[in-house]
Amino acid sequence: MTTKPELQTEGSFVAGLAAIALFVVLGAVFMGVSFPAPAGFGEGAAITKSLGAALFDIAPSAIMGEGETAVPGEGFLVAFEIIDIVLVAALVGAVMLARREVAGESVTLGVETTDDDDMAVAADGGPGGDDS
Amino acid sequence: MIPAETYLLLSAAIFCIGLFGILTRRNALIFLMSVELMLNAANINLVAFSLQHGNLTGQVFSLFTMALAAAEVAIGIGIVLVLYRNFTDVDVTKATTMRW
Repeated sequence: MTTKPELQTEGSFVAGLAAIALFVVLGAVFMGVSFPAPAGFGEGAAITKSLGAALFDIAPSAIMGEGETAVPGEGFLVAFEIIDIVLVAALVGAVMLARREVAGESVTLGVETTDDDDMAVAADGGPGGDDS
Repeated sequence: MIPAETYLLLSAAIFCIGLFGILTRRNALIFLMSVELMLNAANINLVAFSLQHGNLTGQVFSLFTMALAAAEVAIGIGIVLVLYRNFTDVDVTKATTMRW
C-alpha cells in the first residue's frame, strides 16, 4: 500500500483567525483611503546610482552619466556602518551558538569522542594510523 | 501606474500570512520563515511609498531591513540549532525550561 504526503497540521488554526481578522480590517482601511497619483522618479532617473550615492553619502552629481538625473535622497553612511557591525556581530553570534562543545572542548563534525588517540590525524599514515 | 493602495493590500496580505504562520505553527524554522514574510511585507511598504513620494529614502531603508533580516536569520538558525541539540526537537512549545 502506498502512502501519500500529508499536510502537517500540528498547531491549532483557531489562533490564525486573528491574522485573518487583521487582514480584513487592514483591507477595509486600505480600500477606504485614496492616495494621490504616485510622484514616481521621472524619465532618465538613475535609481541604482542614486541609491549608491545615498548609501555612501556622496554627491549624486559626481557619479551621474550623460542624460541621467539624480533621485533625491539622504545620506546614510553612518547607518550603513552600523548595519555592517550588526551583521558581523550576528555572524559571530551564529558561529558561537552553533559551535559544539563536549567537556569544554570544541568538537568538529563526525568526531564523537575527545580521546587524544582517536583525535589523531591518520590520513598521512601518522601516529593514529593502523597500517601494521 | 499602479496605485499605492494595491501595494498596501499586497503588503497586508503577506504580513498576515506571516502572522498566521507564527500563530498556528510550532516549528521554529517555520517561525523564522514567517518572520521573514512579515519583514518583507514592511519592505514592500517602504518601496511603495518611496515611489509614491519620488524619494529614495524608503528604498535605502528597505536595503537596511534586508541586512537586518539576514542578521536575524543568522542568529535564529543558531538558536534553532541549540534548541534541537538540547531538546532533540525544533518544536517551540517543548522548550519550557527557561519559562518563569
